[in-house]
Amino acid sequence: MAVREELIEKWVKEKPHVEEALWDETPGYELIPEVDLEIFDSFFLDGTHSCPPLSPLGLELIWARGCTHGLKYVNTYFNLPRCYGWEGRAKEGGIYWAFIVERDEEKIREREKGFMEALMPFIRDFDGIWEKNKAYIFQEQERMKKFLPEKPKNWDYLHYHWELEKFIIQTHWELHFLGMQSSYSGWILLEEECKKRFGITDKSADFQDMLRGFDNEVYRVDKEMWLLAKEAVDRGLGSIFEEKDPQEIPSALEETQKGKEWKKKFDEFLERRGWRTIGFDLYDLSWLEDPTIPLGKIKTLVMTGEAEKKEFPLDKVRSELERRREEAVKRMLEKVPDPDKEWFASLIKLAQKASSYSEEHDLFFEMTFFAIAGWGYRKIGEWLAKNGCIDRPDDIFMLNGREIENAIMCPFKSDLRWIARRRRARWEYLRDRFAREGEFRNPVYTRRGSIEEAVAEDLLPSMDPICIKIVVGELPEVSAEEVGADIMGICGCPGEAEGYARVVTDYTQLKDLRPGEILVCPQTGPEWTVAFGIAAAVITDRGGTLSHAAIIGREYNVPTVVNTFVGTSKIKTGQRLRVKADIGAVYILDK
Amino acid sequence: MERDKFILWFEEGGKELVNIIGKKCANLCEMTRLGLRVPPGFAISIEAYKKFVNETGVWEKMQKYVETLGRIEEKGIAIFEEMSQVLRGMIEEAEMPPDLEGEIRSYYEALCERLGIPELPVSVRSAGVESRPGMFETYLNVKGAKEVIEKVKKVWASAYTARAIAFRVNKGLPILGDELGVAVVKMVNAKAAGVCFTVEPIRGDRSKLLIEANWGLGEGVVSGGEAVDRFIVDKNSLEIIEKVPGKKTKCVIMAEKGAEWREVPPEKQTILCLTDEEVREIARLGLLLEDHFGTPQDVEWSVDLDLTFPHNVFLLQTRPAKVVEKKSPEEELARRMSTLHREIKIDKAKLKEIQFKF
Repeated sequence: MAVREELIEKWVKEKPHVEEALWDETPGYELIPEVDLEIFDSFFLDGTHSCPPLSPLGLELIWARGCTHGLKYVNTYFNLPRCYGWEGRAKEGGIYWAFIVERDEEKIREREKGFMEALMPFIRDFDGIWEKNKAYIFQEQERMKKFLPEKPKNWDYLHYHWELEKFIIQTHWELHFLGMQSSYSGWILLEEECKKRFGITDKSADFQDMLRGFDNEVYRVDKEMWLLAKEAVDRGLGSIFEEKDPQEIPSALEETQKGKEWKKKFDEFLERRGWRTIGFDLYDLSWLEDPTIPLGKIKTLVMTGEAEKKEFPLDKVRSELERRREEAVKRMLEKVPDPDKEWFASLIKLAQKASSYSEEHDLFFEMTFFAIAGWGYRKIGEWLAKNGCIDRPDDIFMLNGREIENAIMCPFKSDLRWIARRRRARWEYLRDRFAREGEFRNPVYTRRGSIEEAVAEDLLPSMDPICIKIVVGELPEVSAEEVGADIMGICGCPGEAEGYARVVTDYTQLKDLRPGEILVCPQTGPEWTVAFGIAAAVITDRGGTLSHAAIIGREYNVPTVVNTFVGTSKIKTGQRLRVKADIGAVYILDK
Repeated sequence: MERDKFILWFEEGGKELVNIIGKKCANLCEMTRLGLRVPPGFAISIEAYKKFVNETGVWEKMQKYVETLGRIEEKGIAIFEEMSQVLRGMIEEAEMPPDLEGEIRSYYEALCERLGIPELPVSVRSAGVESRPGMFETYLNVKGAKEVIEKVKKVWASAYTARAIAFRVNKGLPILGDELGVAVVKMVNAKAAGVCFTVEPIRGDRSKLLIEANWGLGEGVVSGGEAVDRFIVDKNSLEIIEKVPGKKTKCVIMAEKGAEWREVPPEKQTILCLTDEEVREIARLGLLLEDHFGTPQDVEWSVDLDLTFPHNVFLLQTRPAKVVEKKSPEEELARRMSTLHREIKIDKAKLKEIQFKF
């Protein structure tokens, strides 16, 4: 026992050697460049999903094991002609991807037939398949919430652990990618056809108008929250939201009858909608576990004056966008020659699914699944902590699946504190450093001569729609000099706007955003949606035409420029900006 | 077919003779037998060709030549041109055996006599056992027995165009293949001519048929180079659903000898070259053929300049129509989505300017 005690002491007393990697968080999935590059040549950091650095369990279960399986599964399912799947490797709290590319043209041709057959059902009835899958995932989500009996035995915890692994790796990732790969393939073909036939890309207004103006579940949640904010203001509770921090709001509400009534409604809302996390990790708390997250959003709605508007902003624009969409589709189909019209119409329909699926799936998949699994692992963590295996329940996120499996049955004889403390120290070090310096990790590990060469040789040949439309993003087609702009990105939603910049790097700061300001941020996610009802325009550092900001920008009809790379570092809050989103141009008017 | 006889009249044959006289001849016979308006003529059997190459020693010469070449597949494209010149030369330079020459001459003269026109203009057309549209030669407006005999040899020789040789090599067929029958048919002095697909070929719509027409001879449509008039006809009602005049700037006209491309006078370029009743008659005949052969047909027809309707509408040839099997829009979409991955071009040049951050 002495060695173990000594190690535990060491992590507590001496500041741990956090800068050294110990290669044991995600066994079998650690990125060891000298070994892995022999097979894959290049690994690319997934900046969309692993910023800030992920907890060990989140990294292992969701990304290294889960997402890697999902992508291999979906590409095999569809027989994607050029790519068999992605290989995930973990390093420094980030997931790195390599693409399993087929380069033999003969084999690529052979794979096309299978691809075609697998796509057919999705082309015929995307909605039908999606509804069926939705019913299944709801059922599984409910089962996972209620899995543990009232008085669980040790094996119940172990069975729960195994079920949660399957819940994430199989149920979540397989179904997640089926809808995504099929509809994104449609989007890419539509863009290619439009480019070839009419010289327009998916950054043009003609293209984007065809694919927006859809309602979905995410917007319905946003609307419920907006109605709650409105009701708070109408009941005279506005000052509580304006003056108090989100943590203090619940107790302040309890002081008045009106506050109590509102709180009751809010709790009902949480019951229904609270199973969602804000990030891509299991460690994050859900709204249900931490109501200050939705309360903070309601606070933003109150403080920005959104709650005083007569109509939910999306409702106002949607009917107009629907009309524009019908017209844009009609215009396009008129240009398409007769023999191609029918399939072209089906293609537009499928590409439209990419738009709505891209947004809606986050809610049904990542946010809900990770909330439930995170909550479930905390229960298991309580069991382990109670038996002295780890210091506190959320230390379970510092362990990997096999360590948890091994500890559950006799946790009192399984002291894993020395591992959990060490990993927590390292994880906190990575997160702190990330918060301080921004991205410090190597963007690409490669044997090629340069990053560009790595991309050209090892990434783009996969022709994988998910890789190209989300993870990589695209490049401006026009250079900044050509249009005299200061910053160039690509068009997420067309339109022009002028206003003062508000640089926001964390969604909780959105409460400072004022109507008419131009939001400048790294990238957006569902927690940022409220900003699109307020801002005159949105500029992001990262993202493609199917990224969150682009899709929400289009639905709110807010001029949006994505993938500027340098927006947040070049623009300062308060600067006067002009945005010409159609060409992806941003002008700083008072340099 | 009688022994020792190498020629028969269209009235004497039928589609069952396809292996003996070639597909085009057999179809002309079949249409004649059905009582359809086919220009009169006769079919020269494949056996006649075999007799020709054997008795003249051409066959042996050709075999020896091919043996000297070794493996063709490894020699590159120029070899096909070279082979074509040599092999065609061997056939065209050989003398027709006297009995065969006599038989062709007597049939041609009998045809002139039947129609009361000395030196009757005829077309001399290739007839392979398999239909390979456009691969072998056809000679138009041939006059006199001597010329007809020369052109018969030229048709035989056209089995050795570079394209035909390349086709056989690529398909793994014998190089010395494609023994051809020959159809000798009275020329129709056409006002207009063209093709009729008894199924809409692009979308495979079987409820409609398509007629394409140009002024002059059918070669002005079949060659595919010129804009033509298009008519879509509903097969149930024989109603003309669509009439689209094409800007027909050129057409093929009979010359003193042979046929040639001519400019269409400006006033005739954009007007339709067929009357509605002619369109419907062509459609009716096309449907009759489809019905008889049991599959959609690709019919060549022409409308005589001098005769009166309906005696002016002639059928020249019919063959099963090559149509894209009708794909549903969904299947078509899936097909395009799957080939995209092979066809899309990745612009690597653009990568230089990128700063990747992921």
